[in-house]
Amino acid sequence: MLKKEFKEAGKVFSYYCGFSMALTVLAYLVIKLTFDQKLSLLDIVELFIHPAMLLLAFILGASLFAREKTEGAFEYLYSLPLSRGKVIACKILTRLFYLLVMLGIYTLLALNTPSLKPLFKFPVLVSLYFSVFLIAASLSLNRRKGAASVFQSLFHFTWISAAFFYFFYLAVYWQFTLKDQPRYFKSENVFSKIVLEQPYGLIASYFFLSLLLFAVFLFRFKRTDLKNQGALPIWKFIRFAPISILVFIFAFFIQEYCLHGTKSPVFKYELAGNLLLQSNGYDLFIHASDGRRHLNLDLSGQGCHLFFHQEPKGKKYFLWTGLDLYRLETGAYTVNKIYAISSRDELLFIKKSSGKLYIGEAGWSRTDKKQLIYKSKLVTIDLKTEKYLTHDVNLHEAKPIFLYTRDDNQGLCLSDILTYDNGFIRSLDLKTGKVVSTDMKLNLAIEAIKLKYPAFANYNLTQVQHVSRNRVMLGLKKSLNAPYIIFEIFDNGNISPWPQSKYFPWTEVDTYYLFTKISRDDVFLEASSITPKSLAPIFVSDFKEHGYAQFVARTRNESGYNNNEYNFNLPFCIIGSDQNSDIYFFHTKKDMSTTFFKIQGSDLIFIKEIPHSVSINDHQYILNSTSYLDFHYLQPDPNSFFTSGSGMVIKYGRSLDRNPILKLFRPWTKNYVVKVFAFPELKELDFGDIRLINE
Amino acid sequence: MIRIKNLNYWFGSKRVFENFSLEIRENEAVLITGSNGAGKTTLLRLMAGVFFPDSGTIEYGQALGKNPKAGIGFISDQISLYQSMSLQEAIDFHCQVHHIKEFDAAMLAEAKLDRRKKIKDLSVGQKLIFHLSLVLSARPRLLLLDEVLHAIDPYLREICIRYVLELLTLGRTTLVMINLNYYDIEYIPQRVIILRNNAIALDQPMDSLKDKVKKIVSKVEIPGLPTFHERQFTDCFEYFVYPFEKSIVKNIDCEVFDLNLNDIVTAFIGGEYA
Repeated sequence: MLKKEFKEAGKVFSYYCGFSMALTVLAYLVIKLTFDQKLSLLDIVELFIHPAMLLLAFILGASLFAREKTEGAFEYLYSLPLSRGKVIACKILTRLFYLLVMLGIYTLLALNTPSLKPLFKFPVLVSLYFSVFLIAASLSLNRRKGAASVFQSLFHFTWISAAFFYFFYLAVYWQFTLKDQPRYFKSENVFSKIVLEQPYGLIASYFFLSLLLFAVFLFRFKRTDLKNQGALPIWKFIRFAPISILVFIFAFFIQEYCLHGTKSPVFKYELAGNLLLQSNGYDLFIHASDGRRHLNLDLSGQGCHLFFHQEPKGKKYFLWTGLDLYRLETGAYTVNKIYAISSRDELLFIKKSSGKLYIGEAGWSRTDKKQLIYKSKLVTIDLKTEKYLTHDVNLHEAKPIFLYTRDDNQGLCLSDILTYDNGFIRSLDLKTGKVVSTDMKLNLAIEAIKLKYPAFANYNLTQVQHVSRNRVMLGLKKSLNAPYIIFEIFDNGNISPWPQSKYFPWTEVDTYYLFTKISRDDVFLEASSITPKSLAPIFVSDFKEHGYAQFVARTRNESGYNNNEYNFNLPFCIIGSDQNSDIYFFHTKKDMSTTFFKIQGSDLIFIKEIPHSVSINDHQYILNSTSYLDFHYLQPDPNSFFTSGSGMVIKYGRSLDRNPILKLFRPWTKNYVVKVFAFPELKELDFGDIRLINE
Repeated sequence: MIRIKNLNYWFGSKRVFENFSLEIRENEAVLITGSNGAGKTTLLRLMAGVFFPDSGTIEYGQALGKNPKAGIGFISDQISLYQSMSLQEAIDFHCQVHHIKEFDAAMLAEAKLDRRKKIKDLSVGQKLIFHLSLVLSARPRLLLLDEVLHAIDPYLREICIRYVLELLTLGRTTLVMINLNYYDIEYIPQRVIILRNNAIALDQPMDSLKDKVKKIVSKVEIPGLPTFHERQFTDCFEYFVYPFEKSIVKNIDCEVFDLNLNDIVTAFIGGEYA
């Protein structure tokens, strides 16, 4: 029996692998021939391997009795002198063997291919595949034959999985986590970002569910005959509802307590303007205090968050802006002003700078020729005078998409760049508040083609990374095998590719971590920044276990770059930077230390190393940890700077001498040690009162 | 060999057997017959262990050992096999599962079956011969055949019957067969069981069956006979009587006819439809 099943499962396995490999090679050839990219077959494997493995797990499970069904051999099988237990054991074990073979292949690939990004940690990945396999196996004994059987299994599989996820999150998560549930919520709030990015608890509970289903299947299979082939009749699931609920609740506690270590209490903050902010640590909800209205947190910008609510009758947005949202001293949120602006289809960004609030809005309008166009406006609100100005920033009537890009506190880049197409740049001088046309017309597609990266012509051309006055640096975000190319626009209007672009082939760099911070305009620390004076440092990291950073500085003159190159390699994984200073910190995953450097000229000057500290400014890293701080959803406050772990570093600003009380909500360990350091020397400070509130 | 006690079996809401009991002795050759839907195939599948009784017990004799299924050879009317296997693959698999050291290929040779062929490429008759050869190779102590002879040509049928008889002559095998065509096999069963309305309507040894079942033809109506089927013609009445005793026609003007197996079963089934 075992031999037959090995052969049978082997056939499924080899057909499937052959098909997957052929598909991979075909995809590789198509991409290579179409886009002329320097990509390896492994790059394509990386794209396909996880879905392919999940599908294999499903097919191996769902095809448990495929042959018996298709060939009408159940009667023969059941008449053989084999117990049902032996039959199912042979079938399961052989298929598990092939699943393990596939996992072995994946492991070998992952070990030998640094670029192959694991979807999750290996044990979690294995749990996921085995869950899918076991659920599919449990559903394999349905009444259909052949392919119809697999599709029926797929239907039930999807149904069960969806029911699990929805039940788990909508019923349990929301009921238990949010005591005062909002009456409606944004769809993205339904699934916690944290849970989706690090769904270990979810997968663990899913695995538990799969074991339960499989146990039910085994129990029923022992007494299953030709009369009732569905050993796991879906309509009978209702019988197991109480058990399922217990499992789900148990899974919830695994998720919430064991793996993430948080009780997810609901915090309420009284805001100005009759507003109540409710947070469960993952998501934010704004209520009017009378409970009648629910508001969405929509946009956040540097130094402020924007809550908006559209009045149903007035067709106006009411904007509540939270400036310096989280007060370190009190732990409270504040909302300073409430503004009403005209109703537009879309709010694009919010930016507080130099005492002004900049809000981008866009909507469909008709031209004189009654042509429908998407029109963009910039609303400027002076926070002192509350003067309200509207700038029409459309330059291109056909496709005036309006984008906000990063600024350097001197200017704001307003670009109409549309994916796949031409772009137009305007900049807003933050000192004068005037929108200035740079008269620059960028045809990124053409530039990309010139550089022999035609893939850029079709993918993600829109990443304007930085602007400083009239200079704009454009980074073209990765697509497939496209390296990260940066264009620089010189004063004379010439566009030239950033000379360091070669440092960013995407196989080496995770672009999500690049170009994330902005420095002062006299020092440009990130690759996307332009260099008006002398330096063009570049940081590169791959965020693997053996990650590194490369600091490259080049000096340049008006016409271009000279060859003075400064290279500095650091064994770190995560780069962080202070918002408004020259200080950069590098966090190593290996020994959990954070090293602080200051940029001086073209040198990195070592300031201090704080052992066993974890940055909480780095959002991604927080998500990687097993618990959360209350801060994690906040944008970095320009006046505070945190790292935390066994120690905490705070860049303390104006209120240092006030001997404030520091409240930390839900520190991730009970024996949490907090140390406070102050910039720029990172001297350890004695805080008057540090309260650790574990609610 | 098999003792079925108070068997209950349902197909959904339809009860197939209700407190059904039956005992089949060792080395008996039993023919089970009856109308369509009488439960013949279900009964055989229950005996084969393909179906599980909802309640009641099926006990196997000691001759079948600890794993009764190892001693049971079952061929269903569907000829259930792994159709995509070649004959050789199926032989290897069957021998492995049944721990058969040497496969008896005589029947295959006689039917000229090529072992390289796939089972799905065989005709119905060839499939049956092949399946029978697999089953007989295991020397079953209990052979269950479900309407396997009706769809094959006379030559292959002759082969089948011959090999089954050879097995029976060894005196170690109990045969339970279902058939609806009795001409070829009339001399095989020692006992005939007719199912009617999911219960046993007749259970007689073959030797006494023809003495116990008679047809009585009379020009006048005869009330009070133990008939299981009767027909009225313009000039006479026909009664099928079970159990027949000579005393019941004493002093009655009638003719008593002997019946062959086919007539007996036909009359029984006819009585069900009447």
